[in-house]
Amino acid sequence: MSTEANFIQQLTNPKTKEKAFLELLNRYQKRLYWYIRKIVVTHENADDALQNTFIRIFNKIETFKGNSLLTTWMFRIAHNEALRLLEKQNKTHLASLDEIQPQYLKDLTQDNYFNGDELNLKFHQIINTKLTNKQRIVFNMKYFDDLSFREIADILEINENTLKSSYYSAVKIIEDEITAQTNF
Amino acid sequence: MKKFNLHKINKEELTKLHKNDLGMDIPKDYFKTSKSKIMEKVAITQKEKPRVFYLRPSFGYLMAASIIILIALSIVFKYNIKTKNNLNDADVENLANANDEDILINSLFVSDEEMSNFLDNYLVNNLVENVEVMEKEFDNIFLNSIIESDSLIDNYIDDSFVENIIL
Repeated sequence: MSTEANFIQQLTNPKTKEKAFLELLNRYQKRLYWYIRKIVVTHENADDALQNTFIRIFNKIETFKGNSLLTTWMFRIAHNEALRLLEKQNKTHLASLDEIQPQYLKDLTQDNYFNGDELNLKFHQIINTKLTNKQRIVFNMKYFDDLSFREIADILEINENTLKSSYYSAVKIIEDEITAQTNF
Repeated sequence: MKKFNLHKINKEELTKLHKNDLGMDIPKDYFKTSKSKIMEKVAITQKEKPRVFYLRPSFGYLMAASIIILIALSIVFKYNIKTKNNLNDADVENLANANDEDILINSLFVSDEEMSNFLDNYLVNNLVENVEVMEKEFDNIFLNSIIESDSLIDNYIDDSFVENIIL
């Protein structure tokens, strides 16, 4: 039995579930936090979404059928929790998430836990104003969260080639914008 | 102007871009406290899980299935009674009044089940009727025989009495 299968078995066994879940928390807490944070921006929102994510993982682990990697499944839950929180706060549909983006930079500069310099802010600005919603999510997942295209495709349930196209378009836009704005 | 290459920036530049946090800070010991909070919440949801038996989903499904079966049975039962009653009231009356040929022709338009029900009823009714007729006949024969024998005895007594007196 593979290590992952063994770990999942521990997570679904009532006797070992709590211990295995703590292990899961240790392994993925930071990665999922930063993934969520890049979507919801503020620390408070990220904290809420992260807690909801792990509670959902704990309650739904028995329904995990192993059709994808456990990591992919957890990222999908985190992704949905982050979007659900934004939706709840903005009372808008997911499709109009692009409309929320102008709010992003306002939230970022007002966030007590943002300590970035001018370049950070510029980088955020480009990611969140020049990229489309899809390009931004794909770029964040690939560049910052080190997920493979296969994993991103599984999480977002989008064709892998479409993802690659979105990512490389995003990279080009960012490079062009930074080149134009700085003296690199 | 040198073209900026996102994937070829040096470590210093990468640090500047804060690959890990993008300038997003977190409270001190956040991950430690968050871990405790999540574990607490998970423990609460675990405690909430054991529910009263009738609130369990499995019990709900059983109840729903039982209700559906009861409704279905009541409909089927009601329908059966209705069809039986209909046969007794109208169809059977027609069939009973018809001659043998008519019964045969009518039976072509009646289902086997209905036909067998009708025949059962028909047989039972006829048997009861016949038995009642036979009982009546027996009663009459018995009464007649008693009356007849009484009159014969009376006649015999009378005759013998007269004979005795005369003789």
